[in-house]
Amino acid sequence: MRRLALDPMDVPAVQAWLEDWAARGWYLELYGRSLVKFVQGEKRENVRYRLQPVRGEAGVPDQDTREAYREMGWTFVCATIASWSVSSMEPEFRIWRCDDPAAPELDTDQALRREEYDVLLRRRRRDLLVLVPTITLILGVILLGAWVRPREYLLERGDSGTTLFLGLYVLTCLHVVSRTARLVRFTRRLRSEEPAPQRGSWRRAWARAWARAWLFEGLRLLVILVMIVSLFHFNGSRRHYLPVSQYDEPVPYVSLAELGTPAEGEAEALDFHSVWGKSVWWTMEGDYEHLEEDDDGPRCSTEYYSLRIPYMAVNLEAQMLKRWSNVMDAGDRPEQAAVPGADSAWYWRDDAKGWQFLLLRRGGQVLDASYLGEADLLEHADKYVEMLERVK
Amino acid sequence: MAREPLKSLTESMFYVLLALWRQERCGTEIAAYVRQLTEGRVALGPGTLYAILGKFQDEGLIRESWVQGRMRVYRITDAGREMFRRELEKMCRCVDNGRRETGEEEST
Repeated sequence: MRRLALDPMDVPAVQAWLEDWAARGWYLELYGRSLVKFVQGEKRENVRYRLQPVRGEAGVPDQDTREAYREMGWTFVCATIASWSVSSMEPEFRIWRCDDPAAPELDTDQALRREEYDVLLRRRRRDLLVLVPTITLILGVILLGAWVRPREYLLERGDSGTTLFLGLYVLTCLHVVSRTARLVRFTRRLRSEEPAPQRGSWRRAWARAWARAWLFEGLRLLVILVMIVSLFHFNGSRRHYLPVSQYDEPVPYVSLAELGTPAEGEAEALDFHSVWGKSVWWTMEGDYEHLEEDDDGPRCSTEYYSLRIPYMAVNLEAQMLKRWSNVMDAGDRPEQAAVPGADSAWYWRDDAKGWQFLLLRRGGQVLDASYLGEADLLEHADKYVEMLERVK
Repeated sequence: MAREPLKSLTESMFYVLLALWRQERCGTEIAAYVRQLTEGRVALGPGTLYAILGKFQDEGLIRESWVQGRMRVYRITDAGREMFRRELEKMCRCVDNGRRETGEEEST
């Protein structure tokens, strides 16, 4: 029979839990990171289980030690592996079992027991010393990246591997902090005059194990699944443009008809469900399937970003301008334009290819429109400002 | 990380050294001797006993005198005797001071 593993850091709770199972005729065989394996035997009331921090490197004691313990009534069952340790295969506790009620306790000297737990505590603190600076560094890099290049982050979906991985990492840190705190509490009890309890209520530890299983294992599975799916749907192709009429909410775009150059077919839009932005949309209208052909038929595409931190709109605007220069060879030709209602506006016409580009910033909104057609995009800038006001 | 040298003995440690004072003994004999001597007041569990034996060996207070099969027999070293004497002296002074101050010396 397999059951969800309680965190061995809840020492008295785990001991009580194993003893209660033994009383029901189920005996511990293996204590894994997530699951515990029990085998069936006789029901016994006085079976004792004790957790002992591993002193050296080996989780399984040598034969001589096992024999010596057995002579005093204690049998080695298995070792637990540290969950979410930096050195992940590190054994953490040895689990011993005693069926003889007359046999002495496993550890009878509280001072010595405390020393052993202090060693374990130092190991867990070492984990924290690695994890906390690492998460701080990762978060720092992400925030810096979001500050300098917001566009890439705004196009990140909430269910993307990166976001989930980050969530998993933060949860891992919280978990390591939580189990270290529990270990600190237990070692404090070992420091007091009163003998530390051998049994404790395991209900809370059991609830914690379930929460951990759902949160961690579920999220870990999700990360793996998303990564697998991403492998097969690389480069965002899993995102599909849909006709704007299929969206319930208003799509932030200005149609070719509003620009005075109607085209066949309906505009299509893509909602990014961005985790970093309040709202991120890409729309396109016109014949984008035959871009390579020498056709000057009207086309218009729009990138719309509504940011959670409005001040970052300035950075996004700068990044979009840089993108014009680098990707579309605009160089320093884009000119700042005066558009009423907009905090800032940039306009550029590629005379060679006939494309026009308009970049508007208004509060926490940034809009980048590309247009190929007869109309003058700058003259219709007020329509974009009205649209920004409408969807803000 | 270097281990801190043993500065004083816990009660269990004291009795383990005492058990080896007169004769060599194996682990179970030490535990049985201590239980008998203290009339069951001090029980040595295997976790404690073998932690102490390991610590004492590291400190050079005891050493294995012979091994027969899986049975290991320990003997106290001169350093162990010295440590024990120091601890005993300290305890005696504590007892003397306590008795003198509480006036129990005269009454006993």
